[in-house]
Amino acid sequence: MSASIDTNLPYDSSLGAYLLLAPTLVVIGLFLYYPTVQTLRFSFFRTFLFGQRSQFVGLQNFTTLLTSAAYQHSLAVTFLFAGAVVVASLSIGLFVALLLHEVSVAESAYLVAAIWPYALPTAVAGIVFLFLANPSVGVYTVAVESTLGVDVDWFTDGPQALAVVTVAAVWKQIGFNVIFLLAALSGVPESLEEACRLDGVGRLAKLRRVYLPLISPTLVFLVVMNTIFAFFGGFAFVDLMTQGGPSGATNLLIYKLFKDAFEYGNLGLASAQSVILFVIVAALTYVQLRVSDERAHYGA
Amino acid sequence: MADIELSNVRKRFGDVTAVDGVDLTVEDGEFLTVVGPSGCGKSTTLRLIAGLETVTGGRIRIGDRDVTREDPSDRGVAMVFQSYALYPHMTARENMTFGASTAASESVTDAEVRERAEEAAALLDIGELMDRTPDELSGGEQQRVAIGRALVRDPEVLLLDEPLSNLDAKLRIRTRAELAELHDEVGTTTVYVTHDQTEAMTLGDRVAVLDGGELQQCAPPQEVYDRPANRFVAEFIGDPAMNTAPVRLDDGPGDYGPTASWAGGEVSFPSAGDGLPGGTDGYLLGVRPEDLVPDPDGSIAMAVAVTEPLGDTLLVRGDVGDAEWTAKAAPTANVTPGETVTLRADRSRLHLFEAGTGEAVLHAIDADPNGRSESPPSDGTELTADGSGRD
Repeated sequence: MSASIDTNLPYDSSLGAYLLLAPTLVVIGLFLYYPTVQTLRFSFFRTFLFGQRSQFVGLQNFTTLLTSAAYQHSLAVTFLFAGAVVVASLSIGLFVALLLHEVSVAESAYLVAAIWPYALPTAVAGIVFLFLANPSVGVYTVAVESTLGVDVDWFTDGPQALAVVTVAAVWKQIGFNVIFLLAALSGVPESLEEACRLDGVGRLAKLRRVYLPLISPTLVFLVVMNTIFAFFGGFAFVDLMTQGGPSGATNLLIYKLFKDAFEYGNLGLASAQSVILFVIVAALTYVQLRVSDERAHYGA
Repeated sequence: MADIELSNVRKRFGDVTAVDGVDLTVEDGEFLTVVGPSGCGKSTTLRLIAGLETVTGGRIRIGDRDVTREDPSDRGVAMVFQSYALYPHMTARENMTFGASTAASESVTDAEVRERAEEAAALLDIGELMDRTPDELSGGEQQRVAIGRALVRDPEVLLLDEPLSNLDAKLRIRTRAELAELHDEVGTTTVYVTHDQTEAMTLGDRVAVLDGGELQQCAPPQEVYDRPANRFVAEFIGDPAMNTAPVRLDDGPGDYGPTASWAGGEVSFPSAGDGLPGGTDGYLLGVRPEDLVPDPDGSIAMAVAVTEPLGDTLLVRGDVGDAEWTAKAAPTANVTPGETVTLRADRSRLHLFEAGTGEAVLHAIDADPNGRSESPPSDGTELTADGSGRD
């Protein structure tokens, strides 16, 4: 039996196969698994001199974090930020995708306009948004102040700062959602749309009863991807625009752990934060996928 | 129920004219089939009636209302799509009730819609399938659900776009018969688009033949077959297609009508006095394959290329003059490829078209009630085996 299998093998020994796999395995091992294991290890240590010296402290890093008011605040801010980003970028993305799906003139131009912010590097997007929303010279500032009557001052106003960072992240993420949602909507057979027209099914009913169930697999994927983005992707905006301030109002977990690690040199504590962040995102993803198994319609 | 009237309806997509000045009336309760080759504009015509496309010109009336600019849902039409267009995430019951209950809530209650769905299910014999989703249904069952959904709407007009084309041959024939029965029962004005002439002929009270976006003829099936309005209809309806050949017309012998002659032979029309000028070219003779019989005394010579036994008939294909003709012979006919056979045409079933326009000039069936002669004229010049006719 083994002889017949051997004849199908492209190499005399498995050595050749391992050699071919080696570059990939080395890269993955060096840059993915090694840091992961190190992070996990560091989270049980108190470190000095950027990890040059360390002392095992068990779960102390975790208890320190979970009892710290600053960390709890950061946790709350992050959940608020993530929830707003996921809900807003998906709803606005869906709205824009529906408009793009229906438009029949200059579709490409609209599409480019809609996904352009996503094509920008986050750092560039952050700087652009910093100028657009600058409290003294921003174009948006004038519009917001004149229409809403709010005194825009997010350099010192915490809630405003969080709102600005959230809007920036949503603005950046909409394009990503639009691309996927538009593809999903295009996958809905035109005859179903026509059947709805013949029956006089209203727009909302059509969206709720026909489109959403049919694109639900894509929605699940996007909820997961947006959640991951919201927990990890807010870093650049916070770093460029608010540096976590004012007074911790935009101190997202990902930014806080960066500062703890590389500004205050506390690798152990930062690693523990990394582990917690990872567990949160993994748990959320798991829950989302479980829920979607029951809800999403994966058509024949 | 309602009648439909299309007046000079035109539809252009960019530079392409899909429907070109169609005038068509569908009577109240009538079953009209629309047939034509791919791209002839038949589906577009149906979609114009449904309102899924807007006309470029002309008017559409359903009942006593001009619906030319009305939304599809306001036209009182229901449509069965070629793909059935069932919502894949809904059960058969939900598929049947969804549109009717979301749309017509002001005039119909949910309970009434559910009741109608059950009635339609009973009528279509799908009562036990109502809780299944489309992926749990066979093609034939999906098609019934699609028809059921249309019936639940209680439409004034039922539009069907090639509804049988996704079914296998056997099921198609059965469903065809069931559709005819269904129409007899519900009596809704029905427009049925198909590319299959058998469906068109068997189902339609009348058949509308379209080509190049233009209506070629609209008449009862037998009429379309016996008296095709032009060469296109003559060649499109009937399988195998009608044989044609450019001929010269001369005054015929005795009581006969004009004689058509060409390189492949000659035939005389049954009666005189139909006003056709003798001694002229520019005509096309049309003979259906079943109106040609191998006969030693025949006046048409065919160099047989292929014989195709179909069991009940033997198709004989070969060259008659410059044209390729087909004859339907008895299965026992002794014809072999390579030989030249003489064929006799049923003179009462001949057709004559104008070569330039293709318009029908004469159908022998109309020419003379006494002219149904099965035998060739006694003084008809015999053809030689090489196919040369008389001068």
